Amino acid sequence: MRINPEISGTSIVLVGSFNPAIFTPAWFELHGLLPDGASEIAEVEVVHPQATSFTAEWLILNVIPERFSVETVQAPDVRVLDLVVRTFKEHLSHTPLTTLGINRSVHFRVRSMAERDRIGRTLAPVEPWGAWREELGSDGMHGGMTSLTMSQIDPEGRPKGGRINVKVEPSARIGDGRTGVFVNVNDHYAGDDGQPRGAEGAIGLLEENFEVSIDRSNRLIDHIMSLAGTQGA
Amino acid sequence: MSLATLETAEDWANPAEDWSTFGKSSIDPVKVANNQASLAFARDNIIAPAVERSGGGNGRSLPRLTEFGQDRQSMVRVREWPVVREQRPEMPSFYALQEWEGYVVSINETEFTARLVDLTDRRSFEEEEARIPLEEISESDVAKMKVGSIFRWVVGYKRWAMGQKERISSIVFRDLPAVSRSDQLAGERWAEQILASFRE
Repeated sequence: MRINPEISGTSIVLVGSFNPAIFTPAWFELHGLLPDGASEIAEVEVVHPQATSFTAEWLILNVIPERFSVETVQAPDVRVLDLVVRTFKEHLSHTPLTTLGINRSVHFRVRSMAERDRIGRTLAPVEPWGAWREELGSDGMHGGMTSLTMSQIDPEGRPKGGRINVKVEPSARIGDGRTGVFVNVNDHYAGDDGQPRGAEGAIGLLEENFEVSIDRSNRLIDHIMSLAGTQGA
Repeated sequence: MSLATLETAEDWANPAEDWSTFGKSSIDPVKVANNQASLAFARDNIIAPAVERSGGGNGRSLPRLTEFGQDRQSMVRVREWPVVREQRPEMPSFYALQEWEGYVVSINETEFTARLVDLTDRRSFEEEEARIPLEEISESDVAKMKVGSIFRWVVGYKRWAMGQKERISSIVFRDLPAVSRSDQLAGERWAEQILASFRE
């Protein structure tokens, strides 16, 4: 990417039916999915039949009964793939799954508010807003794009119902609300008919598409970065 | 203790040890959990949920699931789940400037030799060979490493929430899934198709 992100995350989200209480650091360690001692250093937020949330080394895990999510902000991001594939292929292969998301998100910094605004005004020009555009000003201090999502529906080569959603917003985490940009790419894969199936199909889709999806997301994010006109911030 | 008997903040602050009755009752556990959480935790040790930050917000004070990448606490606000006061420390971010995938071709007492594929340059076959000192990798990885082991070698910037930045190099051995019977059958089918295409 032409700008090194300050925060760079990759996550895999599975939608289906889960038992959050089993997804403890100790369970992952017991099955060799996390290294020995991981459960001792894990920071557990909650482990409960309705929600589990913990971090361990590079891993951020959140589970509720209908959603399983693993994320990392530490390269190499292929570790989330290996963890999910092993978990649901070797240990929980009968888990009913309906949809799958491969997500990339980055927060990057540009040199000025004007550069951040250049991205917003390229993606969402103010001219169509008529006389109101004058009120929005041109310095980014008085208004502009706060969130934009562009979606591709039913991308070729995958089951119907898939989507690629790209969201661009001012970053809430870096740049003091002035120079940070957040880009999220949600690459969504649906089952053939939306009916829950065993994990095999969804995990197969994940294995086949993870690297391609991450590469596509990185290219999309790099393009958004190019709109700022910043190099190597 | 079953979910249906959790009535006070103390019950919820000290979760039951025996969940054996969970799922066997006709009571909707999700509804019970939401009701109890909103009643009990709001009174004692829970901070108010954040107002949504991203576009499209209407300023309401009810919690909602916000974009996880934008808000580290969003997950625990799902369905009115309470937010505990103690904040999870920000995990440092490590962004790869350069990344290779490699496999081990030989190992001696002090180093191992590996062939590398440059992923940053979107290569799909190995063009480089490296000799890497064993001291570069963790003791547990040294113990498990064997010829053929696959790893990622990443060079990049690690950044902490307070702004510190450090350039580091990290070698991570991949935890690949075992080859299952269905994988083996799929491989055999693929090989048969390739052979058949040559016969045509």
